[in-house]
Parts: sequence; C-alpha cells; structure tokens
Amino acid sequence: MILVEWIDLEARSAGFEISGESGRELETRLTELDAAARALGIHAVELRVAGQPAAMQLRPLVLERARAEAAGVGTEAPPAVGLQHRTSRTGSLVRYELRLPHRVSSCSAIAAWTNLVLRAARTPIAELELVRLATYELGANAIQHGVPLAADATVEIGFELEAGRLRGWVRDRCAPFDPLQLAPNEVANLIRERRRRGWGLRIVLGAVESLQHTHDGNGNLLSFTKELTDVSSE
Amino acid sequence: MCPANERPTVTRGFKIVERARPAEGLCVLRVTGQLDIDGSSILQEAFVELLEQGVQTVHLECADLRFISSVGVGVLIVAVGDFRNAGGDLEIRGLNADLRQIFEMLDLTDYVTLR
Repeated sequence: MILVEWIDLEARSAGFEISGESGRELETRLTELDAAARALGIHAVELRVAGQPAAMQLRPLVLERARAEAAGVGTEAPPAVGLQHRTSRTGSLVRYELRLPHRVSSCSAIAAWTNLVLRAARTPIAELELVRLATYELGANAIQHGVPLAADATVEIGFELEAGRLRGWVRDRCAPFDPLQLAPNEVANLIRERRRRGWGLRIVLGAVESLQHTHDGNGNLLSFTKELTDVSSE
Repeated sequence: MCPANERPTVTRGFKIVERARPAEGLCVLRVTGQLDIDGSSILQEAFVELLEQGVQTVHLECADLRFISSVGVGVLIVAVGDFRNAGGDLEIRGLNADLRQIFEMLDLTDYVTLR
C-alpha cells in the first residue's frame, strides 16, 4: 500500500508512506505516482517505508519534468496558492481531503489531485477515470456557477477509501443549488440543440452511484459512492 | 506544413502540438494534456479558425490526451456537427480506453467517428 501522507503544494513536495510493497512492482507504482504528482505541480517526493526507522529519501522530479517539457507534452502545473491537503486514517479507512479557493484557476487541480490519491490507493484505472471526471465536473460546476456566501469561500473535495468502496464528496460555501433538481439532458437533445454545455450532469450520473445533495446553511454538499472492483487500503 | 501564423497553442494542461494540412480541405491536429475548461476554449477557437479557412475534415489525434471534461465533450460534439455541415467530418483518433469510455457511457459512439 502507498499512502499519500502529506502534500505541501506551496513547497511543491509530497510524502508517501510505503508498506507491504517492494521490488519491481513498487518501482512501477512509484513511477506512475511520480507522474501524477508532477501533474499537480509537485517537484519532489519524500518516501518513508513503514516500520523502518528514518528510512527517507527524496525523489527529485525536476529532471522528469524537464524531459516531459522537452518532448512537448504539456506539464504546466496548476497553481498551488491556497490549496490544502489532509490525510487521515481510522483503522482500515483512509480519508483524503483537498481544500481549494473558490476560483476558476482551482479547477485544474481537482483532476490532478484526484488522480494522485486514487492511484496511490490502487483504484482500478477505468473506475479512477470515471471518479476523477465526476469529481472534476461537480467541483468545476460549484466554482463556475455557485454563488459564494463569503468573499473567502472555499471548495472541498474528499474521498474515503475502504476495501471495495469509495465515498466521495464536493462541498462548497455557496447559496443552495441542487443540480439533481435539473432533469439531466437527453443526449439526443444535446446533439440536436448543438449544446456545448449541459453534458456535465449526464456524465456524473453515469460515472458514480448514489449521488445526493444537501445544504446545511453554510454550503452545498454533493456526495456519491463508487463500488470498486479491486481496492485495498491495507 | 504549418503556416507561420499557426503556432502551437498552449494553455495550462492542454496543447495543440501539431497542425498539418496533408490534403485539400483536411487538417490534422495533434493535441496533448487535459481538455478541461481552458483547453476546450483553445480547441474551440482552433475549430472556428479552420472552418473559416475552408477546412472540411479534421483528424483530431488524441493519443496524448489525458482528460476530457464535459465542456470538452460539448466542444467536440458541436464541432462534429459543424464539420459535417461543411461537407466533411471531425474524426477523433487514438483515444485511450479510459477516455473512450466517456463516449460509450454517453452513447455517443454511434454519432461520433472514433478511430
């Protein structure tokens, strides 16, 4: 298992804790996670092997980033200002949370952060992509269309992962808006009406399960679940 | 190959890395990165320019595309209609399986030309 212990986006670094993994498969996993971390603007990763005293090393990602840029692959990192990550564990349940400023420039970080934490959790790739897309759509919709209740409003993205199941949520600090009250657009209508917008809810409903909305007076909470074919937090 | 004024365009996470005109009325665009809100705007502008230049068919090479948002889907679907109205098509090529599943989930595989 690889746990994303911490992410410091201001310092462009992150910490991973490794347990129960070794050898070539671990190297492959770390290579994938390095790429995911780089997409989030992280330049260095600190590795800790659980149970071993002070076994730390920094993997510099700068060279990889330079190579990717030389190859013409877009690697511009999302802005780090104001993004806060938190990891917590309760038994076998791992909880990841990201808090972002309520502004359009935060949107690109949603997909990148989701990719990193779900890859660390060994989420099957097909399901990871659907969850990543749904989370991005819900977060971007809140940022683009939500009416903030305060000047310093934030958006929170979170996942709880336990064997075989993921629970995700997007929480904003906006006036009440329940997208589930909107009838999802039929695809045929979207095509006929040449709509660039209106695809998001249809995508979210197809990608995740048990989508629910509440508003507690402070903001909207959209939560969902996703049954995973093979995930383990151990 | 590319006219001097058609430089590759980049925005955070999305890039048009190649524009080629291998035949009359045909343009090949190779894209990379994430087709999110910003990237969709860039791609939409490129499609508008190509239609104004009389391009009828676009091959959109997506092997290095890593993410498509709902706005990206919308831009692509509208562009399919636009290029078909011009007598050609927009072919979306090289999508990886994870991105292709978005079109499958939306039942768009009968409408969009995916190669």
